[in-house]
Amino acid sequence: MIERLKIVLLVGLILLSLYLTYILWFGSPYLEEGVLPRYKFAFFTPLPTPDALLPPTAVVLQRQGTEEIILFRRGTREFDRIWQAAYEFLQRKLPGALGERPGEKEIEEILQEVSFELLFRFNPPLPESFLWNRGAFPEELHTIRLFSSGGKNYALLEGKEKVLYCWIDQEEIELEEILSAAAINDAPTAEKLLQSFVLQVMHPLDGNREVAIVVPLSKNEKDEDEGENRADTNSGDGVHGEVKEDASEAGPKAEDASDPVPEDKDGAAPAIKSEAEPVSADEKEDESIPPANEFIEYWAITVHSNIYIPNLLEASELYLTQEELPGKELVSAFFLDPAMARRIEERDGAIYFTDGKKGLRLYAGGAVEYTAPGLEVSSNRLSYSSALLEAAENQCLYGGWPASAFLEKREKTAGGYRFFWRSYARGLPLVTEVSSCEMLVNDEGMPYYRRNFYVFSRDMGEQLPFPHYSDALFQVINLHRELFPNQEATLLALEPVYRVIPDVTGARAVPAWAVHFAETGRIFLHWQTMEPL
Amino acid sequence: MDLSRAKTVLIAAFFILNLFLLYQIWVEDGRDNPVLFGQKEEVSRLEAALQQANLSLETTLPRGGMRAAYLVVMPWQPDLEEVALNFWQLLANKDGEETLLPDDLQVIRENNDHNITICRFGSYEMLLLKEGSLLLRHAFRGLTREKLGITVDELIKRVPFLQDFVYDYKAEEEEKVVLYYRQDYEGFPLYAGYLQFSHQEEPDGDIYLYRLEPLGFAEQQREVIPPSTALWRFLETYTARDEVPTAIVEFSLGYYSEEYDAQRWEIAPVWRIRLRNGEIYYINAFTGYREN
Repeated sequence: MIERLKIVLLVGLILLSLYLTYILWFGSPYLEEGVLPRYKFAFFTPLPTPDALLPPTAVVLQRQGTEEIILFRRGTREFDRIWQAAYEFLQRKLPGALGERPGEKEIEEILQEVSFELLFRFNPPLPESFLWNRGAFPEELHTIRLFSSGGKNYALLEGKEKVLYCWIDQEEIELEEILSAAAINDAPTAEKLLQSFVLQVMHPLDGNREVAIVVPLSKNEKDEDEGENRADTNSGDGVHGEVKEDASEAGPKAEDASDPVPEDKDGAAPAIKSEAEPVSADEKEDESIPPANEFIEYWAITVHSNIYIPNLLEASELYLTQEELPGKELVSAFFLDPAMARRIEERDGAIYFTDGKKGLRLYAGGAVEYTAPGLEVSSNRLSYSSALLEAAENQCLYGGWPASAFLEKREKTAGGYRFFWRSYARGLPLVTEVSSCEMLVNDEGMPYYRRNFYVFSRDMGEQLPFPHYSDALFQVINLHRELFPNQEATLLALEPVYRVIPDVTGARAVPAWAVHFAETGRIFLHWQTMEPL
Repeated sequence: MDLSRAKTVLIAAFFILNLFLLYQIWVEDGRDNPVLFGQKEEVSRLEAALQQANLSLETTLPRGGMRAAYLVVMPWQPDLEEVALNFWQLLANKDGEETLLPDDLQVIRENNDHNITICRFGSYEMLLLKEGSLLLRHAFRGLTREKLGITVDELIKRVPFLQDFVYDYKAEEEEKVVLYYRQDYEGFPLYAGYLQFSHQEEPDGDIYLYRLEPLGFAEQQREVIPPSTALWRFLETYTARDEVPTAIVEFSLGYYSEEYDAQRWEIAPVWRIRLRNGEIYYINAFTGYREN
């Protein structure tokens, strides 16, 4: 019996010595069996297709033989359809097309013969590599023009240089398909602002101010038309913003005016009357001269870039709510091990998570802010297209690709690319004090991210039309007359927008004209009262 | 051959062997070295790294393998009148030179941009920052350095809101001595809460106070990183001031966080590394990141 016990004890001691040797050699087992920490690599939304990543700011269609311009605005169904169709078309056709770098004159000549033209404008620019693999030195494209001329199809890609791609086949049908895909009939027509024009403002004594656009003629046209094509500058029909050809009869007074008169690019002087002057009895006889009980003033407007204004635009006030994201999922997305992120409840209701290297702040209102100072670099090596792709991936990973927001601006800094997104509703941008979303991307990762999208909730009233843009232009001039001493103004931008006014429960989006004169800066006018917002 | 005897000898031999192995394991655990056969190499690498950083280790590294949880705290919301009264009674009445009654106390409050509240009483000026840190100026006017220790002991003993502070260390310069106290919670040093008595030769001095209200530990406990790992993490980011050699004089586990203007927050356990030149570094004991 004792011998048996000895054997059992010996075997036990041998086994124990083996185990202890193992422990000594390989170390103690872990105190806790943790799972391997890893990012919860779950995208909030799938990655956007390349065409959805950076759509154009506007798509403009113009057919030959008609003055009608069709403007497709971001956030509308027609816009999505025409851009998607054109994108696929370009991806298919560019690799097989012949590319050349024509001069401006040659391009002009081709454009004169086009049956139609589709214009895509990009701001920020579209990396050419998103369209096709051109090889070395891809461009950053500001404009793409698609057109047909003389049985050939063309794509003019404009970046630092202009490259014209041409293909000769029977594909014109395909271009037509692009147009039909967009359901053009539903798309609103638009007006392209002239490079320079004159605002004629009539102040009758009954108080109903009338503002009209007066088109200056070039010198040649002026000579030809002299004495036979005197347009009535005082039609008195009360139609606001009517574009009138010539102001030659407003001209006599302008010639007498002491203020300098801007010349348009052809050297023609727009008709300007600088001050309200009583009109003489002789002038009364001329139909183009306003009656004595009115006075007229003229303002020369120079337009800085191509501006398209949609016709017959209607809008109503909207009620917006802030986007709500699930906080727990966000923390899991940002931190390798969410348990390592300690929680700080701030006095303003925000909750801040940090692991000492990076911090995530979830504001009470729904905004999200993330900082990782350790990822900042002094000289970024990431290319624009790669930064854009990474930004899109981050956007999907940290909250999801916003359904109704578009990339609005990019800033190239030494520390990386800073991208800004803005929300849209009903085809108009929601203009807030700061952009809806901001992200800094560099070759180390994403050092900064802020997200605060508004989401459309409901209409707050009936749809009412925007007044003509000429009223908005004059309203701004009238409010800031002291800034226009020579009665000349440089218009940098003009667009209908929603101006977001935060309130206690969410935000109100008020339709507004955003008028940007070089002299005044950007000013928002209520779309009904025309009062500044 | 007596088989029974052979078995007895073998049992004895294996018993001794097992004792030896157990002892080795215990020693290695104490040194917090995960791998026995890499120990010498590991230690020599660490020593070389310390030398390269102009540092020497003048304290033993504590045992590893500990577990800890976040500590949840909220800022202390002091009643300024009460604080003033407590300091007044102990500081102004020192040596029984003057007898003051609470009714004699006049507290004048000023708000500066809502970030600092200034409170004046007698010859004292008390500044309360938005984050909750408090500074009492001219606290030791007329107090000699010899009597500083006694006064401080009295303060800690008698002022209710200072009773969870324990002595930490002392820093002495030619004309200035600073006594550092730290908050304590359930046996764990709470480095985030501090009480400093700064005394100058004039004689005068200030009191700095930042106090937290611990609400308890979070539920989930986790293993903290070993001290050797924390030391490596520290050396990765440490740069010697003016390249002057110095020494690590303290290596301890506690809780530390910055001062937040927040309602409540979680504090991570940290390894505190204090150098002879007065510099203090905190290494997060969960993540290994430097906290300051």
